[in-house]
Amino acid sequence: MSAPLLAADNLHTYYGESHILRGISLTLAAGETVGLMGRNGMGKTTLIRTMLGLVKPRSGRVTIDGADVTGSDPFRIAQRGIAYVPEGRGIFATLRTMENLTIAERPGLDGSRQWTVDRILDLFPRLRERQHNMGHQLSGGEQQMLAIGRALLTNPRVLILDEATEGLAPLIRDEIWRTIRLVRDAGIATLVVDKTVSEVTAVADRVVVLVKGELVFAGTPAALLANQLLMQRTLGV
Amino acid sequence: MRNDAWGEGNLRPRLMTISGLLAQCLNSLQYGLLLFLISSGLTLIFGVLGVINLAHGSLYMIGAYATFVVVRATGSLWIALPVAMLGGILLGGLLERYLFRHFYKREHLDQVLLTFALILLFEESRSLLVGNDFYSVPIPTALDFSIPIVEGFSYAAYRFVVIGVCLVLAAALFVWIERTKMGAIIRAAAEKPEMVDALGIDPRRVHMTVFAVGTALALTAGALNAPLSSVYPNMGDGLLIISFVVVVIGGLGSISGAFWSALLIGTIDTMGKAYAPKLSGLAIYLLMAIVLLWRPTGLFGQRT
Repeated sequence: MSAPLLAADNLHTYYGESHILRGISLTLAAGETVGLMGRNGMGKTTLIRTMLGLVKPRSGRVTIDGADVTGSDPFRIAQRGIAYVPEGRGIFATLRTMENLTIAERPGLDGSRQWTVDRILDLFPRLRERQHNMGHQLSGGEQQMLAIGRALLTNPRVLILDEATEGLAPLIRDEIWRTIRLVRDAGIATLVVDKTVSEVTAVADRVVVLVKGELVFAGTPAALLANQLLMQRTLGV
Repeated sequence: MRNDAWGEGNLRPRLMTISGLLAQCLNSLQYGLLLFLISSGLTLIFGVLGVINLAHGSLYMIGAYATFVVVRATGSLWIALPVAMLGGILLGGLLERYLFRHFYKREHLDQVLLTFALILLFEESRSLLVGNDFYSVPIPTALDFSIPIVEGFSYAAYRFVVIGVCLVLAAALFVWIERTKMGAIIRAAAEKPEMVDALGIDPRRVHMTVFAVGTALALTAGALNAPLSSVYPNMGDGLLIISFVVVVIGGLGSISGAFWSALLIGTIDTMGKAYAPKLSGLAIYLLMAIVLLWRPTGLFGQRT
């Protein structure tokens, strides 16, 4: 069996003295969609940030195609085809929409340019209308589309979305979920962090649940949905 | 440190005339633009690299001395100017690559000590290589004349050239920052450096470019002003302080803020020296205090 595209192996991450990740292992195979769930403060964002190299783990490894990238510079990890849509969207307020979109535009590792500016603007017509506006002039939904478009224009192999539908109007949320399906169907491995159980279980191949920095569930969406007690205890639904 | 304005002899009576005022306006513009060349690099380096470079005034000094040395050897300011500009890019690139890069994650005190040490190092090197004498750099003969503006008033042609070159450089800087991909990356890195990293953009290239350009602007300012101010030890110290005032009033990290603030400070300082010499030393610091009380992030700073 070949190595997973992206993997976390027994990660322990601390913020100062607080022990945030307590031995987390997670794999993401090429083309796979994994839902990462859990309440606030359980370590979801820390797990993502550790895998992206933005936080250094105290122990454990992060691998890409089996190669150890633990402690690598974040830009080197990103250049191996990992794209990131952060919580809060991370839009550059002082850049125009088009500059935000194209700032990291590049072909994929295989040289392909599956995602182009035109394709992103077709996908999100709202961005075409707003292309000359500054980042801070966009609505939350438009910023979210921009953050996803910006990530896709790096032609990634992996897309990591942290709370991409949080705080958005229902119609915009639907549009974001449609986009996530499109990305999945395009063969990009996707790690989706979200609190909407119905949507995550509908889109994901596998689901993992975090409680206080530990993995308490890993399995199919159907297995999670069948376990009412676990859902109630760990997700509060 | 400020150079003799435009005329010699009995200045006072002439100041009160229209032509005297006109001359001070032009001097204000020229001095303000020079301040912009220095403070734009200072604010850019602070905005993107997070380092307050106390040695920035010494870079101006290096530009002036390099010009003196090149003009003495070749007799041409037109060789000295590009030498200062390209030398600045090279010097800035090397300083960033081998020195500053290792200090971004260090404490502010370490950074202050580093840049203060550089002042001593640069001034000591200058002393060893060129000595401690005052030198003047001749204005190119082709430009050593005055252009008549109105009846009874003419203005030095070289000062117009300085104004012109500064305006061209300022325009180029604006276009570069506002209209190119590298400029967009620089603005992004000043705003959310972590996001730039996470998008797979190599931050080291950005840092090196910003530092090299900032250094080149400081050296160019020194080169342009050398024929007007003459060349002397520690000549950048006073300008560094005033450039900090410019940067703080304009808003840390803001290029357009630095531009308007530099023109404002240039005007207040020049007019103050001409019309109210006793107050002029105080005026810009008073202005800085008022601006900071009114808008703590500067006139053009991001309001948080």
